[in-house]
Amino acid sequence: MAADVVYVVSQGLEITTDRLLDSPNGNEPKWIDMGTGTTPATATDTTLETPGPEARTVGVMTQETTNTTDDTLQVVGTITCTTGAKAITECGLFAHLTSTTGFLFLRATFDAINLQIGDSIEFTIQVVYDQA
Amino acid sequence: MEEVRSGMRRPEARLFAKVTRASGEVIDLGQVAGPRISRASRAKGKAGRKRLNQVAKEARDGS
Repeated sequence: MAADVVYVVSQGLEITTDRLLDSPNGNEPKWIDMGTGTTPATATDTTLETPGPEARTVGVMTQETTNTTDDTLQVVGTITCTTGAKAITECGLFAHLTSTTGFLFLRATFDAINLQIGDSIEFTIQVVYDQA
Repeated sequence: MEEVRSGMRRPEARLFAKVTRASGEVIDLGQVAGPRISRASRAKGKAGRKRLNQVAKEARDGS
């Protein structure tokens, strides 16, 4: 049983401030990945523990309201299991389509979600900046 | 406990998941990670995982 933990990791904080610049150096965090690693997420993670073979998907980014108008970043994306049954236990949000290090914004770990070939998961990631 | 895990000084994050099986069956697992998971969401996740585990077992058994 994995711990249901989710962190905006330290690189995610860096990505956040970069995106506030007049000319950001990096991309927005919109690529979602999934994997089978079970080590609970921590603030210092830099990538997924065991990424799956499926490609990252481009999520749809929107502003949502949790406590204050537009205080929440939401990213929604779907990944289809294409290469064998697997138990998904981690999810990551990246600021890059393919790079494995240096671009992780958020990592989550959770109890296994069993997928068969052809099944897909729609992940909805919410990051709330007003924690009132 | 969960609020400490999620990092009090960082933005608070939550993850929701919904599985669509190859057959078209939709299994909503609700919030799967993050603080303050509601009782309803936990129940949804438990029922959804039970269904997915059953599917996995059937696939292994070839039934």
